[in-house]
Amino acid sequence: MTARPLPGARPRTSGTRERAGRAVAAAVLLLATVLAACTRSSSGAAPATSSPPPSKPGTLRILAGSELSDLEPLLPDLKKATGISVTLSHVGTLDGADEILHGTAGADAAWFSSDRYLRLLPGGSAKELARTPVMLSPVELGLRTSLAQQFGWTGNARVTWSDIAAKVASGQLTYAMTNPAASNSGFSALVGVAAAFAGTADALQASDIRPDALKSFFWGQVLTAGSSGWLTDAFLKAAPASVGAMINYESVLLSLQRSNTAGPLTIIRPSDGVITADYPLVLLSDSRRDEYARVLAWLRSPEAQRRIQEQTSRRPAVPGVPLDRRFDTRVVPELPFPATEQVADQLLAAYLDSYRRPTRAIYVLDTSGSMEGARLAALRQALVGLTGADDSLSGRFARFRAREQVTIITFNAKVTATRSFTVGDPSPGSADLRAISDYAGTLRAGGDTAIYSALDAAYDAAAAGIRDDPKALTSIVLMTDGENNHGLDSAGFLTRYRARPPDVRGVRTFPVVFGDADRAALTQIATSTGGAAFDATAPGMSLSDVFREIRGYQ
Amino acid sequence: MRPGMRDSPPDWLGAGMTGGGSVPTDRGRGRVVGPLLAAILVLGVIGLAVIPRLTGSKHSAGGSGTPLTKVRVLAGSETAPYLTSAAVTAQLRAFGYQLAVDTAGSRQIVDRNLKDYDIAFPSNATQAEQIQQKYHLTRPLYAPFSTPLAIATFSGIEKSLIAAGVVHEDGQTALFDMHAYLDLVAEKKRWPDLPPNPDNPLSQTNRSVYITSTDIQTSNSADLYLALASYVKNGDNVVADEQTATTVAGQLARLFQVQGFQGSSTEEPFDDYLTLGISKTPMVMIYESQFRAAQIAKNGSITPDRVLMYPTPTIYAKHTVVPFSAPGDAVGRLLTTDPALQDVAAQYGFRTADLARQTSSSNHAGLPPPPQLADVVEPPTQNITEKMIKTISELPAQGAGG
Repeated sequence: MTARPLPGARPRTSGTRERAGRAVAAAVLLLATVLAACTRSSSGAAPATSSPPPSKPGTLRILAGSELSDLEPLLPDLKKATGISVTLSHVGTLDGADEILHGTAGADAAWFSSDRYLRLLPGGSAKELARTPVMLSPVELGLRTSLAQQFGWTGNARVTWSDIAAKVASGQLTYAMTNPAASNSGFSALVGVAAAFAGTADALQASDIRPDALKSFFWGQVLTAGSSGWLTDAFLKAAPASVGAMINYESVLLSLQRSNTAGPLTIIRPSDGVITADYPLVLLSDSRRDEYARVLAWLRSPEAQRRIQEQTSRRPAVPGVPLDRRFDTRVVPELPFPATEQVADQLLAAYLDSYRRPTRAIYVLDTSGSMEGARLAALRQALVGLTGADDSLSGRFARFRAREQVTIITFNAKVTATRSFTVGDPSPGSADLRAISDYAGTLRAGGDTAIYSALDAAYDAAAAGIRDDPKALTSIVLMTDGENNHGLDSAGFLTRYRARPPDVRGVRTFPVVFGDADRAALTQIATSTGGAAFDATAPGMSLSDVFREIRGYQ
Repeated sequence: MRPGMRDSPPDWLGAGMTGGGSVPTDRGRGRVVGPLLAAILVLGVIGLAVIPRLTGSKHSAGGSGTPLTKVRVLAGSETAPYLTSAAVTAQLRAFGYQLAVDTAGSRQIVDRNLKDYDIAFPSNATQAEQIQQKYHLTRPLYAPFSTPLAIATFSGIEKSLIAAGVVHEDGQTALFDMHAYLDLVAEKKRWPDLPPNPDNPLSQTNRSVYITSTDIQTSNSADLYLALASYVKNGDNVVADEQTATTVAGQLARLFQVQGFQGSSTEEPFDDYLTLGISKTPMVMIYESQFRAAQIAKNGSITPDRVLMYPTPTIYAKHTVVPFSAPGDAVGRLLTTDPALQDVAAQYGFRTADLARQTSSSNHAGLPPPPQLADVVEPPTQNITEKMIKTISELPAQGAGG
């Protein structure tokens, strides 16, 4: 499974995992992953962040993007052929870049869909002792075939990003896409679309950016996620009428086509250009040059390249290995990536502050007696981190953004307060952000725990918000450190939830397992609402890490 | 000219001197003045010192009891595949040497701490001299092989360029007119602006006409490209003063800015050329050796639609050994004079002093031998190059301009 349904629960997993088929419902995967995470932590597996496995000759410890887990079936054969044990530790692209920059990765090599952003950062290139692409996959649009027929886009029609934008503008098309600040597929799409709208297939410069066209295009993005895999699962679960297409790697779209799990899908390769992920294997450790070279030689062998193509639907990165018939071989220009961090960051900030739909983030926070002390301090810190205090790479883009409505519902035996904030000025230290961080400082703990009643109140707040502004993207974060012992029970909540109108039911809840929280209950909430549970008790994870990671899904 | 210069100068070097016609006259004191003289200097040293060693080498091959002398090399990435090849390793072993090769961009080599190395092996004579001066070295430099800049492209693109008057064919050699090309870039021409050509899929796109290169801040091939372009832009004169450097660099900034993100070593865009192909890199500035090595290796990467064009004028990357120690000196000498090692270099696509090697490796691979290039220019001094790089890097990028 390439999805990352419980990202917080397994910030790092190693070795070969039991793999579930794509066709399995996301709900089942969510639960399975929670259980797997429990098993791993109870068996004493240490996370890479606190104590990386020792680096020793004959091994290659690779820091890898979550989507690379689909290569794990190849690793036993790699070991057989080269004698080298490869372990993959999964981490998000920006977090990975952060660790590589600060030398805290605890890995001999890195393997992400792209290293371009890392290399734009000061000092980023110098960390790469060597890099070689292993496989290729462009970012494209997977459109439900019923819509493709309606638009006349079947049979390899020539479709541009502007054509797609026109369908969005006319209200005929909505789509799923990952958050560009959290995931490379979204970032590639953002850069590509911005270049296409600039009327150029050349490098995008700041003066070329067309805000109005981009705003119009991203209005169509109704489903977001922090990882390409989770996005796919959410797309599979979504009602076809609610989201018509998905922007994702060609490999993901071809796999969906093959399994037919999303129903008939037409893959659109915009003729004005795409950005292709090249999955470079990057050497970080000088003492593992030999292992790196041998692993690379095997991965780039024609045999391994054919298997990668067959099993993961990615294109070979080695000339001479022919593409199979599923791949579109028409020439579309590869759009250049920006040359500077400034242009890339400017684009990201503009996406978050102005292009995408405004967001409404509802935080349901447990302030019962058990939160007293260190837990409450961690909660305050996690909230303050989102107001600009976190200056890490991923932290910078995880801040609350312009046009965002932040509602904080605190509860113990009942809802103790509901406070809403609207962010006008998203710059760190602004009065808008300070209001939120000041409020976080006033939180106090005490009393019982009424999880479901508080969550029910959050859905009331969501319903009211949707009435006011139906276009904003609404989501709920539920953080608790204990078990429900007051108010509504699970069944009572679900009955009320299911009676709500479809647009309110569509609001996903992302529960955070903290302290002694009831994992099964929180997982069920995630499953029932289409969200995902995150585990802040996982080794090496803090509540701040989880709050930051969830930002990719809001 | 020099005592001991018994070999006649290689043809391609001579051609470069006679045809270029505009080799700068104001080069700094103590600099190697041109390819011809560089070769003469090296060959002069070799002629005196190496021949006895060479004849003795055949006997030392069996000395299995002798411990190998380890020679640490910091090389530009372009020469690493050659240096670490099985053939070179075996041949040097026979002489009692074993290489440990690290790689870095040629421009980075100059800045590295080289004290622990026996050899620095940048792909540019200018940088070799810089290293020599920085470390006050007195041993001679060796230039075992070189390779000209070339442009890898596709036949459909070549056809468009011929129609636009940028490329003309001279026998089997496609010559790419740098003057005409720089004019196209200055006019911001896009592929659809060129004469209609159904064989060029980029005619249907918005892409500007430009050659993909590496990053001028890190990579030697990009610097040579800049050197070449600045020579042409400066009215066929090597840029020799800072004022001109600033002006010319400003006029050339678009060559690099239009590309967006660039790779840091020449492997990268060449890899893109081989895999993503015309979509990403319709034209890529590479070393001739990269293309020829792939052709000779017959690994299927150079499909029939792939073409190598030679810029006119062109410029050579002179891979230059800077020895730091006696073993480094010995290996440098062997790389330059040992026939077997020179043969391997030819198989890796490099031009060696003896043209017959290229001819024979080409014949083996069923390829035409590399063309003799008449119009060869020299890079400006390092200071001028740095000035141009700095100017371009600090210029705000211009947008597509609607």
